[in-house]
Amino acid sequence: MPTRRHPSRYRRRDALLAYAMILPAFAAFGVFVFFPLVRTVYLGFYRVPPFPGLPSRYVGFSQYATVLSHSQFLEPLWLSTLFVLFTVPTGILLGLGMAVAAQRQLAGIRIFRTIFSSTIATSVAVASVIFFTLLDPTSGLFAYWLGERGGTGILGNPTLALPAVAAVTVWQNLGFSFILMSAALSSVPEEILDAAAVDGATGWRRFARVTVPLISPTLFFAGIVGVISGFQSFGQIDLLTQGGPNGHTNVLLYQIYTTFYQDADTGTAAVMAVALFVILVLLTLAQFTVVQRRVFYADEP
Amino acid sequence: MASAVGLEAVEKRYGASTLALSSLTLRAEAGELLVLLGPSGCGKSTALRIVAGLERPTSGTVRIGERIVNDVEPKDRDVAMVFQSYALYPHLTVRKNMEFPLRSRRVPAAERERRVREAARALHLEDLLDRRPAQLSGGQRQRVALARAIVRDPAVYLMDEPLSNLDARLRVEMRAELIELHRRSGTTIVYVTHDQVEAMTMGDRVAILREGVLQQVGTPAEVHDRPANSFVASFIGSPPMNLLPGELLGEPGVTAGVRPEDLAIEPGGPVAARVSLVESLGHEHHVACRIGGDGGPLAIVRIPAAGRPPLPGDEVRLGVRGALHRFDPATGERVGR
Repeated sequence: MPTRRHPSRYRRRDALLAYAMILPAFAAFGVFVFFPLVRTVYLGFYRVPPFPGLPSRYVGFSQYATVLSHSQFLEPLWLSTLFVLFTVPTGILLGLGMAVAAQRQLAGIRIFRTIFSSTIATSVAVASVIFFTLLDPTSGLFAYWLGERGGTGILGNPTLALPAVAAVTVWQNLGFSFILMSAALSSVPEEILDAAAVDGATGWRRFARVTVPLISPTLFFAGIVGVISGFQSFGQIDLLTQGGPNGHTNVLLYQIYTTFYQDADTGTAAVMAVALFVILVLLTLAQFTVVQRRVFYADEP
Repeated sequence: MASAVGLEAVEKRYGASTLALSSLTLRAEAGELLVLLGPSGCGKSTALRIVAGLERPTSGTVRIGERIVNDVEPKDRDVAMVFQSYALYPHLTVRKNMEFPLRSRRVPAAERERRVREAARALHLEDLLDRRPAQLSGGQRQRVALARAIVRDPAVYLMDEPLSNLDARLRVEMRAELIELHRRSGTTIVYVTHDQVEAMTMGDRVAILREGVLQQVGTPAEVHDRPANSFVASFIGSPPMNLLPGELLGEPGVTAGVRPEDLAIEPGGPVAARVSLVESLGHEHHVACRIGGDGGPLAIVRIPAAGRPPLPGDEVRLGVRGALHRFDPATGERVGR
């Protein structure tokens, strides 16, 4: 039995082969994820002087302390939080509601299923351009409906701009949410729903007590993905409002972007980027520890 | 209180072409254990689901007790159902699973507690009450499914192949427990199975269905001893009844049915055959013979293990020692007595 006689040599060769096989993935990960992350943290240690041409100065953690307590970070963070609160629950509930409606065995239901899932084929840019046109204060359909032509329009209204951008985002994500929720609903075993019907739970009670717990892993997944993508929203802000009016849609990622490219303040931008990363990690961990207790997985041991 | 269950001329169509049940009239008396037996796709599960209210009949009347329930919701029919997949609520503990139908009916907490305790004791689930279904074995899940039905104390139990996901040994055990449960509770049970052994051992009466059409209803002894047609004859009994051209057994013009235990290998018997296969089960042997030699129709003879079985290739003589059933070769219907 040769494998027994030279176990170490075989093991070493296997190990080398294994490392060789994961090397490409590891290299890509290193170049595109790990290096930028370390580099960003590092950039955050250097203060960029307000006049171009002067050298950056090493300031260590003090820049983290100043930026993270400043309103130029805290206000965008609050707007991002609001944006997530506007988009995530609405997106999940609308998607779930449409999925429940589309489960009915009605004639022509396929047409509705197609319409409901259609926004998955649109990109952020396409959705933004469509709604930019619709929301245009002079020629847009919404202005016409509201009888408010020539004013600032919804996107120019400090109170309505963020909800409007959030609504566009919900609309754009609705197709994905609908497909996700439909898949979850169709995975609920028919016999369990039958059992619930015979056991006396129908309608809303059956939905709340049986269906929702059974699709909770999907709801949980949609929640986490929604929060992360909500905090990372950029395209719709850039195309619809550029952070305006007067900073009322200046969410965190957009603030990082303008700080980096327009103000050329790489140090401040880097600090905020690291902060966003840490916030997302902590939020995801929190969701896992708090929400997951209420999530049921069917293959639980 | 146990209630009778009646189906009167119940028909079920899916779309225009598929006829799942064809004018089924059948009654389970109060307190009776009625088995619906048939191969898969025969409509037995559809019939059960119609009684439960999970399917609506295309036409016909469904009664539970004396009440017509065609338009009554499943939850208001006072039936409890046990499913083949058990259909336990996977996110709830055993206790919560058992409480579920009681909570739906707003049974007070003290009463709920009492009923769950009683059912758990009856089915040996006391130690498992705080577990989730995923942490239970198949047999335990089956017991929880039964317990969830028992706590309801319904007028009728509907059971859809409840034992077919269990292994052979557990199935025999659970079969005994079900019979015991039926005897103790005295409740009506409509029980669907494709397993004729289950049907024969459990049923007060057995209803045999084929392609949506009722073939025969009777006690296990009746359907075994006087099958109404050749389908019932071949479906009941293991190994199945031999159906042979009548002229081979001196009964020209009919299909002759002889159960394997009613055939015997005897020197000087009237029928010549050649042994093609011998299966020894320990307590008995099943001897497959070609009548008239190779290429002839196959007949199975069941002989007790005490006798020494013949060997494949042996020439033997067969005789009919028990009942001989006669069926119309064209329709399969029973001829004569």
